[in-house]
Amino acid sequence: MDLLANLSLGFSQAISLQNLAYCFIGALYGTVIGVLPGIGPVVGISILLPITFSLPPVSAVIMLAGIYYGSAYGGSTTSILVNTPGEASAVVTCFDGYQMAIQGRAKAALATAAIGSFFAGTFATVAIMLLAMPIARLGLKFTPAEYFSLLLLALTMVGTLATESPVKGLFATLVGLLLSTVGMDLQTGRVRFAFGSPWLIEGIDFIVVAIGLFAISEILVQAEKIKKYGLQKREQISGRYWITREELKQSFMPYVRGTVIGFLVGVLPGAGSTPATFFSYAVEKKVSKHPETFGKGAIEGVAGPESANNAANQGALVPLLTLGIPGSATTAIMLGAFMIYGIQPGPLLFEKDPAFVWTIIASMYIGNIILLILNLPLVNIFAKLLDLPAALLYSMVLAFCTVGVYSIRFAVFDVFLMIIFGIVGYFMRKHDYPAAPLLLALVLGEMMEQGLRRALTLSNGDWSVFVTRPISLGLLTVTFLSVTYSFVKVLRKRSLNH
Amino acid sequence: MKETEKRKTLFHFDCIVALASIPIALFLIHNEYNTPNPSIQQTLGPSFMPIAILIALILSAPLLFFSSLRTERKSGDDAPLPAEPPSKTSAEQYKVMGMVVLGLVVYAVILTPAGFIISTTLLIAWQTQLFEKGKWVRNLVVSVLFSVGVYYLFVHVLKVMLPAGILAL
Repeated sequence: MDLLANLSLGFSQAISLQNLAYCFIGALYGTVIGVLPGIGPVVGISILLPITFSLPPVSAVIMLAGIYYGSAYGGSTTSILVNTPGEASAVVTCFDGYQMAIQGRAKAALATAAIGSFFAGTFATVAIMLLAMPIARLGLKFTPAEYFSLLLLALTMVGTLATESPVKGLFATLVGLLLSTVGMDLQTGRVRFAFGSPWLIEGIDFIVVAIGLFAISEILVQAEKIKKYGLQKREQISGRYWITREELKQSFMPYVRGTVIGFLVGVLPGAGSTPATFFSYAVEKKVSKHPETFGKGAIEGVAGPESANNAANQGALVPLLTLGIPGSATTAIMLGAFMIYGIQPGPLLFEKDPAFVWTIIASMYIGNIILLILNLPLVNIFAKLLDLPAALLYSMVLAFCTVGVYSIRFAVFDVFLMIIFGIVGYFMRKHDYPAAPLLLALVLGEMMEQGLRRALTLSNGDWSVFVTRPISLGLLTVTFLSVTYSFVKVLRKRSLNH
Repeated sequence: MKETEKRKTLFHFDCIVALASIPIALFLIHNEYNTPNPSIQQTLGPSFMPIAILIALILSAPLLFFSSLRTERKSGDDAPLPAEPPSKTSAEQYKVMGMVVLGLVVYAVILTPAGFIISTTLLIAWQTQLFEKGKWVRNLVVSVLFSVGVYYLFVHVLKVMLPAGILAL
C-alpha cells in the first residue's frame, strides 16, 4: 500500500499545470529530436541543459525525462518513412518498417510502433515502481567501497561489452577518466592538469564534451556525406485506416516479449537499447510461424523492437534513480543534469525526498499518453520535419550547439573546447572508438575517485576493504568476468577468422 | 570486402594513437609528479588517481598497437583486392569539413566583439552555403531570422545573457 500512497502523492504533483506543461514540452521536443536524423537524446538534452538551470528541479527533470523517452518514439518515424534511422536504436525498425511503407502500409507501421512504445513505456514504468524501492533499500547498505566497485563495474561494462573492440572501449574510458581529473581536486583544493588556464581550474564540463563528441562530429560526418549522396526522399503516409484489428492482434505478443526483453537488457549497465532491439527482432523471427516475411514488411518486426527500445530506455532509469549510476551516455547526461540542479539520485533520494522521485515516475505515465497522441494522430506534422533541407537543419543545430555551450558559463573557451572535441569525435567515429564510454567516464570519474579515497580513508588505508565486503567483492568479480569475457570473445572471433 | 578496406586504413590510425599516447601520458605523469601537494594528511592524495589512470593508459597502448597489427596482417592475407572503390575520405570532403571547422573557429573568435546576432548570422549563412550551394537569399534570410529569434528568446524570455557586441552601440 506504500506504493499506492507514494504514487498518488506523485500524481498529485505531476498534474499541476506547470509540470504538465514541462512534461508536454519534453515529450514534444523529444519526438522532434527523435525524428530528426543525427540528433539524438544526448545532443538534444545537452543543448537544452543550460537554459533549464533556472527552472524548479522537479519541472526540469520531468522535462528531461520526457525528452529522454520521447526521443525513442520519434526515432521510428524516420526509420519507417525514410529508411534512415533517427537513432542507432531505430536501425532494426528500418528492416520491416520501411518495407511496410513502400507497400503503402506506412500508417500501420507508424501505429504499431507508437502503440508498442506506449505499451512498453507504461509497463516498464510499472516495473520501475516495483523495483525501485527494493533496490534503493539495498543501496542504502552501500559504503564508499561498494560505490567504487559499482562504478567500476558500470564503466567496464559500457567500455568493453557494448563495443566492437574492447581495447578501444577501454582506451576511451581511460581518456574520459583522465579528463574528469582536470581541475581542482575536491578534497585538497589542489589544481590538476590546468596548465595555467583559469577555465580548466573549474574542470571540463561534460556538456561541452557531449556536444562536441556527439553533435559537432555528426555535423562533420554530414558535411562529408553531402557531396556523396545528396538528400533522400521520404515515403508518404497514405491509406484510410491506421491499423486493422488483425494487425493489432499480430502485434500484441511482440509488444509483450519486446517489453520484457527490453526492460531486462536496459536495467543492466552497458547494453543500452540498441542491442535490446536486435535481440527482440531475433526473437520475433524465431518464434514467428512465417519467418520468411521478416525483412519484407512483417509487422512483428516493427512491434517487437520498438517496444524493446522503449522498455530498455525505461529500464536504464532504474540504476540511475535508485543507485545514482548511469549505464549509458544519455543517462550519464541526465545524472550530470541532476547534479547541476543539486539533486543526488540514489537510495537517499527515495528516503529524503519521496515526493520528488514519485512525481517523476508519475509524470512518465502522463508523458507516455502525451507521446501516444503526438505520435499517432499528429505524426504527419512531425513527418514534415523530414522535408526540412539538411543544410538548414544542420546549420541551425550547429548554432544551437554553440549557444548552448557558450551559455553554460559564458566562456568562449568552451566553444573552442567543443570544436576540439568535435574533431576528436569525428576521428573516433571514423575509427570505431566508442564515444559513450568516454562521456560516461567523464561524468562518473569524480564520483569514482571520491569513492575510492573515502573508502580508503575509512579503512585507514587498507585496500582489502574492497574484497572483504561481500557486495563489493561480488561487484568486482562481475567486473573481472565481464572484462575477461569481452576479451576472450574477441580473441576467439579472431582465431575463428584465421 | 569493404570491411578489409576499412581495416587497412584503420591500421595507421590506431598505431598512431597507441604510439602517441605513451609520450603524452609520460609527460602528464611527470607534470603531475612534480606539482607540490598540499600538506593535508591524506590516505590517497590528489595525484593518485590521475597517475593510476595514466599508467593504465600506457599499459593499454601496446594492446591497441598489437590488436591493430593483427587486423592488418589478416587483411593482407585477403587476396584479391576488392573491386569496389575504397570508401576513403577524399581531399574535397576534407576541405568541406575543414571549412565547417573554420567557420566555427571564426565564430568563437568574433562572438564577443561582434556580438551574438552578427556572428550567428554569419555562422549559419556560412554553414548553409557549405551544405547547399546557391539559394543564398533563402539561406541569408533564415540566418538573420534565426539569430534574431534565438537572441530574443534567450535574452528576453529565458533571461540568459548573450553578447550584444557592436549592435549594442
